[in-house]
Amino acid sequence: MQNNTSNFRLLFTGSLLLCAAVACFSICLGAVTFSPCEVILALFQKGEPMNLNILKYARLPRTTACLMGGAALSVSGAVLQNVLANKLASPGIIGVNAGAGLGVTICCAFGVMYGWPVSVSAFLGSLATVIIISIFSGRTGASKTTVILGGVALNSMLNAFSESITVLNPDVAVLTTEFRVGGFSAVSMQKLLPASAFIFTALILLFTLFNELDVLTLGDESAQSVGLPAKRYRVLFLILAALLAGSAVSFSGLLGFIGLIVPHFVRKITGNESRRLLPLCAVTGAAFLTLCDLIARLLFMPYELPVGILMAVIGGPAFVWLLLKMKGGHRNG
Amino acid sequence: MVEIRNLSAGYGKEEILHEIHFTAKNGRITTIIGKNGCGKSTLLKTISGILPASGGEILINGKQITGLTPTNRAKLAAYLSQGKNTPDITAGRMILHGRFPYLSYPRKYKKYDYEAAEAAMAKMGISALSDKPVAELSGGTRQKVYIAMALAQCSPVILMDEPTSYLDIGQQMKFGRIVKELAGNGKTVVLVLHDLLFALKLSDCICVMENGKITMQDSPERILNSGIIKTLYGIEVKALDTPEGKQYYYEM
Repeated sequence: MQNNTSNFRLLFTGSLLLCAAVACFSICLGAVTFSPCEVILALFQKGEPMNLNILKYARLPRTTACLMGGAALSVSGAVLQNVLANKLASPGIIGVNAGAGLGVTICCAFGVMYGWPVSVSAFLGSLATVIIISIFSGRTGASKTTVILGGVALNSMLNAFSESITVLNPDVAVLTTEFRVGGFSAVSMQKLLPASAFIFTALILLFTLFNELDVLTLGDESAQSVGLPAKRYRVLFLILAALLAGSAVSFSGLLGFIGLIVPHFVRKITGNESRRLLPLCAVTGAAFLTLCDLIARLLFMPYELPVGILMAVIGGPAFVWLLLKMKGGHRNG
Repeated sequence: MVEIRNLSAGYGKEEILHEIHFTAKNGRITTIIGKNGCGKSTLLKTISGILPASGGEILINGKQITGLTPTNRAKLAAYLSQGKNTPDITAGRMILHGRFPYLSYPRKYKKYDYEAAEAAMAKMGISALSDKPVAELSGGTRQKVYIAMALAQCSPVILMDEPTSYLDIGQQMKFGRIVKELAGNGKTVVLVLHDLLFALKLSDCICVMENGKITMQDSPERILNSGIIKTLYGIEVKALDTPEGKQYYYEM
């Protein structure tokens, strides 16, 4: 057990360093390339004023958004998978992101484009979706695949509502294609601040509830037999997962697949225990999304590809592979 | 000690248990038998606090369980349920979660929790499987992991619903010895068993349930002599005196 702990610490430190390196590249590379020295000089207001502006209004908010969005969506995916006991569950697939997107669209329809109301309505949209999915899976006793299919249907419905509002209300035209596929070119600190408060709160709470999340996966009766009020905690975890996904969507748009791919590969490396899974998901998710955004930015320079497109290209085949693999299953799985 | 007075409980508006009176004493194995659907599992769930009682009272070691917090209730009574999930965690970690009721700030298991979990694993003979994922274990071994988790809870009362399911005959006998040892250490053991011969051989006291009521509670010998088993199941169970004690068999 001691050996496992040392291995995990090594793995976690390595991931943190990798994440820091990717974040540095994300800050330095782009249409204008900075050396690390130029970045430091600009931050201390000793270089070109233009450099400071680029860093302050473009690179830093964008990198921060990628790091936070990646961490939030990956952890949200891992939590949803554990609570719904379904490895295919992720905020992008079961409609949680679409619910948040609908919340943001409604907010924009009322003329509010950023700030607390956008983050709150994104959270409420995603919360409503997880509650519907959880009632659907709990009450109907539907199979894991049926829950996913139900989520996919809900996803389409919510996207259709958002599209209708966009078409009927010209004020919502600000929600460009980038919001619908997910991307960070229009991110700003104004959009980030309220969402980051939600994300940090949810992550801190989740990181104190590792054992509760694991005990919940034992099933309601076994969880209750060791003193965990299962229903209450299930609702709490769904709220926290919705808070993470909703907050991320409020500034990143409808980014799909990251909440599926990252937890899945982290589970392969570190196992399913939440005390290891969630922190590693947060770090690798942050690094992965930042790296994807960097690639999407640099791939067709001077044009920028919204990172959501790249995520879909990677995530689509990964989802199909996971679906086929799950069909094999394990003992009584 | 478990004392139940005038208990009624059920699911939603449907009442399954009616006016149950029941006592399970310290240091004794009490087994509940009865036909499928008579309310055995519902009774265990209600005693463990998983299912709320709609009337009457349940006392564990003299304490009313209704006013207790879930963790305090879990410290008093461990419950092994009949239907179980297969979590994607290692056997060792799962057994450690038997110590969940004792978790306090900063929500980390302490040395004595690990020691209790290791002792439970050793008792069930599964120490070598600590790092194995539960999902990769056979049904019988998984059952042993669940039993070890209940043992790790170190509660004075142990409630087990069909604990011998999935266990082969050798493992059933070993389980019988473990349960006798637990009772010998002063614990109150309440079991639900379908294997009548095993129940008669193992138990100090048998409760017969019919249609949500306990119709008889007595020693195995008196239960056997009363003819209630024949009335209930339509089969005859006979006892044979041997140097190793009473042996029971079905008369065909």
